[in-house]
Amino acid sequence: MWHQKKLLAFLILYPLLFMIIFGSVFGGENGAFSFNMAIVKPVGSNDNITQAFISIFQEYEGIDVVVKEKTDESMDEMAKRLIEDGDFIAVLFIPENFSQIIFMQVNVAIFYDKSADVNMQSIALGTINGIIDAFSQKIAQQKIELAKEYGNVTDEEAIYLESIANPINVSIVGFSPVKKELKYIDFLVPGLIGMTMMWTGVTGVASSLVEDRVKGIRQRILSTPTSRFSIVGGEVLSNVFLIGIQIIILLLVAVFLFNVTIAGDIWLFALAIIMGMLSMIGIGLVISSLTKTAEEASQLGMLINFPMMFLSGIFFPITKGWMYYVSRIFPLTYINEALRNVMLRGAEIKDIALPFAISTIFALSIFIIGVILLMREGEE
Amino acid sequence: MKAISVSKLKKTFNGVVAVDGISFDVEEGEIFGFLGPNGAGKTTTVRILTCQLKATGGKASIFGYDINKDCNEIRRLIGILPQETSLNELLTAQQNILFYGILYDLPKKVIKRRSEELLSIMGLEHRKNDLVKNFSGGMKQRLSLVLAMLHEPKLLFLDEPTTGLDPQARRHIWKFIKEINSQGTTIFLTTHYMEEADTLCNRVAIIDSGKIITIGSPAELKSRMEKEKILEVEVDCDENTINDLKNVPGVKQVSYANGLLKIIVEDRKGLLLDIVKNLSDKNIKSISTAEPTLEDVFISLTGKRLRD
Repeated sequence: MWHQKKLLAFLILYPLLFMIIFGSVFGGENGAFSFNMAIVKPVGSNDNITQAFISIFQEYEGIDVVVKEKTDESMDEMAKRLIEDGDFIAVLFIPENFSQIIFMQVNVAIFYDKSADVNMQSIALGTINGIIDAFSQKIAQQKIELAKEYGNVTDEEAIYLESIANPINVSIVGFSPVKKELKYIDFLVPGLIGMTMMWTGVTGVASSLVEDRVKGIRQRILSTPTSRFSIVGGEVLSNVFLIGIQIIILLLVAVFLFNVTIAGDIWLFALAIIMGMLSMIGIGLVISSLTKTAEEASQLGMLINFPMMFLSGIFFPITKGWMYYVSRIFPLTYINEALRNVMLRGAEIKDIALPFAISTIFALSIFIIGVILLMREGEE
Repeated sequence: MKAISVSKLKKTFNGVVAVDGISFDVEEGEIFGFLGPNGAGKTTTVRILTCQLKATGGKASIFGYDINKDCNEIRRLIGILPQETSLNELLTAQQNILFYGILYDLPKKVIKRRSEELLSIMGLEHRKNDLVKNFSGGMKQRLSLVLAMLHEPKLLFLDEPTTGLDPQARRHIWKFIKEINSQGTTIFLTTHYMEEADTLCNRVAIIDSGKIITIGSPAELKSRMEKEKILEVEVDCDENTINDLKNVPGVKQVSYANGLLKIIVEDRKGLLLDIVKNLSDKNIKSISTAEPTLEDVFISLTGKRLRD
């Protein structure tokens, strides 16, 4: 492989090309189609009205809600902290005694991230306001029903009352946090690292191993005092090295041309990359022992790689529907999740425990199977 | 000590017998040939003796080392020229040599000296920095021989060393084989070319369907046919006539190809007349007697022709 200059150039240029195309097309937009918000409620408030109010947000499709309890910080401070550290586009504060004062008039404060994508800001604020309005109207109607029961309110008077009875008053505070704004390119780069490992690891390894076998080079090497283990080890190491170079070039271009940063621990990031390499090279080893010719090997590789490329969250996040369940089959999905969380959100190992555990288990088992198959090959 | 000692060696692939209990010895310093048609079991035998395949039964040793236990020692003593050229075509000749030199743990200095020696003997020194993919078949085979000889093996296995080469390239390889043998390397070669076995080998084993039919020097094998004569008749002939000829007393084998009738006969008075009688209504262009070749020995022993 090292002497096939065209192939080598292709392997390095291919992911770069993807980055440049997708990066320029979607570069300015946020790749996520839903938004994250936090709702801060007073300590210990578990009454029905507060719960009902929060659950409307939670059930709303397209909003990821995290409920927090109010701390001793001021609203400003708390909002600042949540937006800067928690990656929330908006924070909504529910005041003390919400369920009682709502029957008079209550103030609800929303803090939002002014630095986020403008479209996302208006989607988020519009959605949150809409939900509050609907809730507010429901409460207003209940008040009027009560008024009708206790006093003589005519229908005309009821309409008038409805128009003035707006129990929830919303105050909106825009806020520019000191944090980096995430763009599509940030989303894309960890995915492309996964894609690079996939193409080189699966099809590259499989076809070069099969070619050596078909041409008799493997037999010839085995006739020297070289162990099978060295042959497998050499193949693995040379591919780890190649993938490493590809990833470094990719990251250099991403950092210097597209201002992408790695938020998390670089060693955790590297560990996730190693698990990815082992998984993909392992698949390559298994394919090589299942196929007879280099063409067959690269075709079987493509058969696995193409669906995996589009259904493992390289180019867009897959969060629902049948695609979500299909994506869970592919090992690259978990590797992408781990890489993305470390790179974008600065996740620690406990934050990515599940995808990391699945990647590690898959990586070690497929790699060991691949090595065993290869060690046994041709030993009639 | 024997270079190779084989006793009742057997190999089956999923119940199909490829090597059927063969026994033979190869003395140090000789060129020993395995002559037989494709599929006779030649390559399988080579792969077993070179530790690439495990035998199903029997025993074999290389310079006293057991092929089942001492593969590490054996690999250092032997060189192999595989049937496929199996070179890394995207490397230069020199890079290929360096690669295999390193696999044999040879010091850089030794690799350099051996590669200069061998490349010059093989007439490749002016092409050593060219990519192997631009080499002709003969050049690839010569480079392949360089690789097999790099670590100065005591025993060299050549699996069909000249198959697919033109006559000139073939003679070039033969010359090299004789030269390295004269320097003391024992050679085991397989071939389905009679001429090759005849020219190169001190002794030949004729192998067919996994069994050794006979072993001897080419001259010995041919002299066993001295009581027999070979009659070559240039004639247009049909199936019936051939069958009639086979029934003539004293006729041992009849074969017909390209207008040439080859009849192996016992030396008997009046036989020639009987044969000519059978062909009386045919247009005989010429009749001659021929010296037996190894091919005739093969036909006489197996009733089959060797394919070229």
